[in-house]
Amino acid sequence: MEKELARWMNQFVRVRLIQCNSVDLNLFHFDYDLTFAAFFLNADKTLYGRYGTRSSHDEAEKDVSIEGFAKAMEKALALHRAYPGNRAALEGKKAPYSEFTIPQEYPHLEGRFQPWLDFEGKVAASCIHCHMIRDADRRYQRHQGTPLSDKDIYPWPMPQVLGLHLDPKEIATVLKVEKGSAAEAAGLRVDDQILTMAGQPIVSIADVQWVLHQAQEPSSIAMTLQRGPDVLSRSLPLARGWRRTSDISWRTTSWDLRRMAAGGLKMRHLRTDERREHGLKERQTALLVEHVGQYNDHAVAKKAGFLKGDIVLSFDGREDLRTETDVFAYVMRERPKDSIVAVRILRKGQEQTLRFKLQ
Amino acid sequence: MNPSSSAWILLCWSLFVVLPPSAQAQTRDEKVRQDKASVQANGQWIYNDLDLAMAEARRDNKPLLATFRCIP
Repeated sequence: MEKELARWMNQFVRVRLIQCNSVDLNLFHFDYDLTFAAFFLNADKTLYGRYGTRSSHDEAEKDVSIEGFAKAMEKALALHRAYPGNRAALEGKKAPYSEFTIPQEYPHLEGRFQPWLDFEGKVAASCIHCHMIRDADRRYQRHQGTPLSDKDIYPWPMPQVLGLHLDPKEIATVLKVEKGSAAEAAGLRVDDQILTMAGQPIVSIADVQWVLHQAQEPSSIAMTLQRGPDVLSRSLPLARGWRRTSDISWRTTSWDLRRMAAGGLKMRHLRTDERREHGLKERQTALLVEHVGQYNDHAVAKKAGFLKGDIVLSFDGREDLRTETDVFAYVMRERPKDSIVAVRILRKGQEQTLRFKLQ
Repeated sequence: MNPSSSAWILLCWSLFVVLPPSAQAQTRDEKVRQDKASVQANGQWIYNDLDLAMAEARRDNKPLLATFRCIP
């Protein structure tokens, strides 16, 4: 494996970027909750592909592998050899136009960061972290009074959202197709290798996520697959609201959503046995407060009287919000900042209602 | 750059994994500066200079591998 990796890596000019200060947002558009993201590109800034996937806070490495990275590099090198003949196929990998060309142009970051890190001084504090880009973008939209779109609430969806499980040790090989899913409806099968999506060559799971992230809804995505010796065409259906089963709670950027949408509360949904213990119905909102923010803007719920261990039974009159992600989505789509929400909670067997202002 | 050693491969893969416990005793500023020194001394990656990398890629007609990774 090491020889394989060395063989591919030696064919690239390798640069490690450790900051997002001054990063070109019209070139480098990636999942800003990642702690490792890679781009394969031409010196003329044409993207060959991306690498880097994450779907968990605690198991950061389960969606990446040395084998998958090596295969992604091999594929990217093939695309480089074919360039510029394949330029048209690579167009879709380009970042959409960003009004803010560098992160420091966002109002929340403006004036706070220099173009470069202060290596002689407080270097860590001088750094714009990747997740700060998404935080700044959401703050900007919230301040403008713009409801967040599903694309902004559920960024970079995992293919699992569509019932498609891919092998991290391969480029984009199907490990499992869930019954009744969009992936099954598309006719995908175990061991299929995804070659292209939306006309773009796929070098990694991150590339699959890129296509999904950019997709309209409802829509369908054209795919080509390798199945044994055959190359097949398939169409992946995307229903309206397809992103909404994504779990975004693991994301670093969800902490700012907790500030804006939940007064600084961190919640998780009760398990079935826990619901039974408290006499709560299966379909009812039942969110356990795991953490109450203690400082500044994250302490709004604390000041309203929330305690760790409270169980949220209804949020702004809604009793159908089953997960913390559902709360984020509801607020960011439908409730502007400065709205007051009433939250009914269960504490030591007694119900009460607390109120706080959304940010 | 001639990546042939196991140490180089481990440096590459260390982009994914956490630092060893001994490194965790340092402040974050110290870790960043040490990381910079290590990467620059190793010479296998251009450190935090995209323009230099682009120029080299143009000159040699090589593709770029650009990673976003601060210290864990």
